[in-house]
Order: sequence, then C-alpha cells, then structure tokens
Amino acid sequence: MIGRRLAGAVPSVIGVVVVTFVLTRALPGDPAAFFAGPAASAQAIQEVRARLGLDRSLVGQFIVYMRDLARGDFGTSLTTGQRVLQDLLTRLPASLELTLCALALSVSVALPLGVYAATRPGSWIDHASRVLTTAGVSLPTFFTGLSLVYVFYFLLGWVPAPLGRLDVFLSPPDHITGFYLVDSLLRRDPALFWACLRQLTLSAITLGVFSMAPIARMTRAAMLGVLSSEFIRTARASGLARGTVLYTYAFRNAMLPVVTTLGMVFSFMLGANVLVEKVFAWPGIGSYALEALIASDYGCSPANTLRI
Amino acid sequence: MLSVAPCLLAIRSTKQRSGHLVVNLSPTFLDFCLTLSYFLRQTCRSHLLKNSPRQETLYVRFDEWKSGPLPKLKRVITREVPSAANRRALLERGDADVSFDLPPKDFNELSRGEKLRVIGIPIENSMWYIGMNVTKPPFNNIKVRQAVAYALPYDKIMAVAFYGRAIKLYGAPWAHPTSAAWLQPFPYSTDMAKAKTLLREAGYAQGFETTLSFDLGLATVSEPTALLVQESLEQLGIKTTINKIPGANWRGALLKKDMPLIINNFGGWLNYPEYFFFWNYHGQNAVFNTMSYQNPVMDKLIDEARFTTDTARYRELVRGFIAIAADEVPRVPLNQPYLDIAMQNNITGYQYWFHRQLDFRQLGKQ
Repeated sequence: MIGRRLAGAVPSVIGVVVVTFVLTRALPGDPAAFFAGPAASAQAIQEVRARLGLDRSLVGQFIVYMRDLARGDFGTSLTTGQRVLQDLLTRLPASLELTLCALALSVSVALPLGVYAATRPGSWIDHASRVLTTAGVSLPTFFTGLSLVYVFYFLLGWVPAPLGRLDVFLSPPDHITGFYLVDSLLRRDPALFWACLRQLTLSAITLGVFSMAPIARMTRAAMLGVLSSEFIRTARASGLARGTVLYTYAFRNAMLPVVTTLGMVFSFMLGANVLVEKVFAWPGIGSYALEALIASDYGCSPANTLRI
Repeated sequence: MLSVAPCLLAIRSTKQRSGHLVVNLSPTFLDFCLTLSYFLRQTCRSHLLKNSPRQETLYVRFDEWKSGPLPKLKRVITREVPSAANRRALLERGDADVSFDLPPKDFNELSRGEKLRVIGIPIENSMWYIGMNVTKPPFNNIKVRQAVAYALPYDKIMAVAFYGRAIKLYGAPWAHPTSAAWLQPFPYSTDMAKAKTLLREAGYAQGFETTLSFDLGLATVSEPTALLVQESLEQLGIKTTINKIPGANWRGALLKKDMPLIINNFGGWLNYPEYFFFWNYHGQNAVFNTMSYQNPVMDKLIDEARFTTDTARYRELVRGFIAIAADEVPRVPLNQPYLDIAMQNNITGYQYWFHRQLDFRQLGKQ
C-alpha cells in the first residue's frame, strides 16, 4: 500500500521538476551576465554562459539536468560554489532544529492554553488566549523577531548575539545528526549544549509565537466538541475524577484534529521560516532558497523547490 | 566579548555590490571573501582557516611571515548578518568590532555618539547619478535633459536618502569649469522655473511619460531618491513609473541599454578624470556608458587626455570634456558617496583601499 502511494507521487514529482526547471529559466535575469561581472564585455558573458552550460537549447539543458538528478547530483550552486546537495545537507538540519524546537515550544504553550480555554469558555483566560494567539499570528515574524532582539538582547542583554547557530568563538560539535543540541549531548558537552540552546531561544520563540494560534484554536474547538459529547457526560455521571475525565478521555479523543493541524503547521513553518532565518542570521534552508532566487541561481533554485 | 586576543569580528550584509569596477576573479565566492582572500594569499600573511559560504569566514595569521611586519591580529572572523538592525545592535552592544554596510541613517546617528567610531571616506572617482538614455526620445533633446537637471531635488535627496553621508556634486557657480579636478560639482541646482522654461522651449510644456529604473540591491538609497525624483518631475508634468529591478537582473538590464531614466552608481578604481570619462562617456559604448552617449568631439578630447604628457594641455582637455558633459548633461551627478565603516573605539589602523573592502593586515585592537 505504501508502495502504491509512493508510485502515485511520481507523476507529481515529475511535474514539479519540469515546472521548476522551466520557470527558473523563464524568469527574467541572466545569471551569465550576473556572474561575468560588471566590467564584462559581450564576449566574456558568452564564455561564462558556455561554461555554465546555458548556451545549449532548453531541451538540451533539461536532459543534462535530468541525467544529473537521476544520479543524485543536484549540480553546483552558482553563489556559494559548493555542491547543492552538500549545501542542502548542511543547512537542512539547521532549519529542522529551529522548526522542531519552535513547534515543541508552541505546542507546550498552545495545548494547555486551548484545553484551559475549552474548560472555561467565556472566561478571561479564554479571551486572553484568543488575544495572545491572534497577536502572535498577525504580527509578521520579522517584526516579532526584531522586537524580541531589541528588548532581550539590546536592552537587557539576557540572550546572546543573534549571530546564528553558535557563538563565533565556539566550534560546533562533531557532525553526527547535524542537530547541534543532539550532537553536543551525544558528545557529552553540557557547556556547548547550553550555548547552542541559548542561541536557539529567541529564534524559536519568534517562530513558535507565530504558530501558536492554529494549535490553540484547534485544541479549544476540538475539546469543546468532545466535552459536550455523550460519553463524557456518562463518565462524569459515573463519578470519575475531573482530571481523569479531562485528560484520559476528552483530551485523547480531541487530539485527532490537533495532530492533523500540527502536521500542517510544521510544513508551513518549514517553508515560512526564511524571515526568522534572515533576522537571526540562521544558516538554514529558507535563506538559502531566497538568496538563490535573488541571484537567479540556476543551481539551487530547482533543488530547493523539489525539496519543498 | 571573549578575550581571545587579538581577534576581530567583522560583520557585513549579504548584498551583492553592483556598478563598481570590481575585477571578478571567480563567480563562486562572496565578493568580499574573494578579493580579500586573494590579496591575503598573494602576500602570504594569512590563510583561510574556514569558509562557510554566505555565513562566516575565518582568517588566521601566518606567523612565519618574514617579508614585512606581521599583522597585529591573530584571527579575524567575518560574519554575514542579513539584518541591518541586528548589525547595529551587535556593534552598539560591543559584540562585533567592525561593520560595513549599515544604512546611511545609522552611520549618521552613530557618528554623533561617542560609543563607536564612524569613519566616512569619499569613495574615489565614484558618483551617484541620474542617467538619461540619449537614444530614447525625448531624452535625445538637450533642453529636456537640462530641464531634468534643474528639476532634481538635490538637497532633499542628500538629506533624506543619504543622510549627509556624501559630497555634493551640484550647485557649482561656474559657466565653464575653472579647474581640472574630478570629481567636481556641476552647475545645476534645484530651479523649477528654469526647468519649466527649458521644457517649454523643447516643446514638452505638457510634460511626457517615462520610466525610472533602479537596482533593488541598492534600494536603501535608491528607493528614497527615486520617490523624491518622481515627486519633483511630477511638477513639470513628467509622469514617471518607478521600475524596481532585482539585483541579479540589473546587469542584464544595463547591457540592453533600453532604460530611459535610471538611478545608478559608478565607481572607478583608478582615480583619473579621463578614466572616468573613458568608461562612462566615450563612444566605445561600454556597459557603464548607460546613457549610450556618443560624441566624437568629446572622444577626441578623452583620447588625447589619456596619453598626453603636457600638464597644461592635459588640464585644458579635462576642462574641455567636463564642460561638454555639464552642458549636454546626459548624466546628472547627485553626489560622491562615503565609504562608511563603524568600529569600536579600540580598533586602530583602518585604511581605505581602492577596492573598498576591509584589509585586515593593518588593523589592530588595543
């Protein structure tokens, strides 16, 4: 069954590959002119174009691209000079770590908030949670990020400088999974773990605040729906403790739509964390994809779209 | 700041620079890391310890260097920080030592305080200008170009877009240039009455429509300039649509030479007037001759000035082609920008280089 599902995804993947290829070539902008440099003559640009393989016909370029793709060779990025696959492999853990931490933070705040709001509908907690989550999702992430940096770094100095995943004077842990938190624990280096965690704090909070709203609202709605159902009434009537009714029966049954929402929120956050990455200089996938687009980088733009 | 001494942290933005005559040695590295590592490797005073493209580069001093004084710094870390607000925050809190690429507003504000040292050095042979493509009517009419030159809000651009971090290239009192210095101001200033008269004489009393293009990569100064220019030309009846061109496409757009009105910047590495004019005004029509300007009379003056050994004759030639450029005005100079750098008060030895990058060999930290 899984095999059939995967086979069903193949036409979509083919479609994505063709469309991204055509779109990146169709976009205005000539990478050959860009990389030949400001003083280049027409002849120099033509040479650069030949070197980049862009003088072949569109079909010819596509055949070369498909051949490389089949071998797992995504090509070389025009802006970083590294192989795109290597770029992706180093940057993906950075984004994943940020997104997962943000999601964990968001869930740990939004779930209790949603449950509490559901058990006391119309109370000030209910209204407060609504205001908080709406504010979190309606303020753009770069605004929240910059405000948090201003207050907690610039004014108070409680968090380290927003310079990326790790303080400049520390070296990253040995690469096992690519997640600094996990790797530093595996290497039994609590000081490094703490340093990585501190760097992660503000960016995770910014991204987490942004995703609290759908989770909290979904939890609240699901809980309200479940709490008014018959089996909960039966459980209460049977004299079960309030906590047991709430968590063992109501919460577990309300989790289904919440988990679905979590999946959606996670994929949305992975795609939308580019702004957070820009504010906190986080070397992640989002900023990589954005810079590739800005520079008309034919090497990594298609690969990034495929990855998404 | 950790005391791993002497060590320096420099931060800059991710913007690609355009419009400068930078020799592109390889298209695959950061332009900054590229020129610097090239120079440093050539002189063997340091080597590249770590390079994460678009993130961080770490340079370590080569301690066995015998052919001259050792650099004072043992390690230099350069970090890319995309957010300008964060760059300023890092500097002000002392977590970074040196920063390029802040917006002129920040340099202006920081220079008034005492916490940081801001050094602004006029970039040699470099100007911001409004270029008019003389092959696209109505800019083929000299009176239209002069009208535009008189209509530009020079002082407002200087205050609002550049925050005073530039040298004025307008408002000269002469009818004919008296000196052969370059860069020098042109004899235009904001005079709407004169502009309207000239436009009427050209036959465009009702104005016309055109497009004003600029490079989005330099939007920090270009965008306010564009808005001010649009507002000012509106008073003459010239309706401009602003066309923002992403950085990657700007070079291609300049090569096509079909933009009627542009805001652009040129900086020549060699600081001679005939060098500037050869690349920007000569009939050889280089990509920097964004106005597609062709004038055989000027070409003769430029060609002679490039090779003459007679100083008096040279000055006469230079004054000659400056006079033609000022009269025909296919390009209206706005200002000569500063190369601004902000650093902590304990950093010594900063030197301006023609390539406008930071050379770490002379820097020291007390």
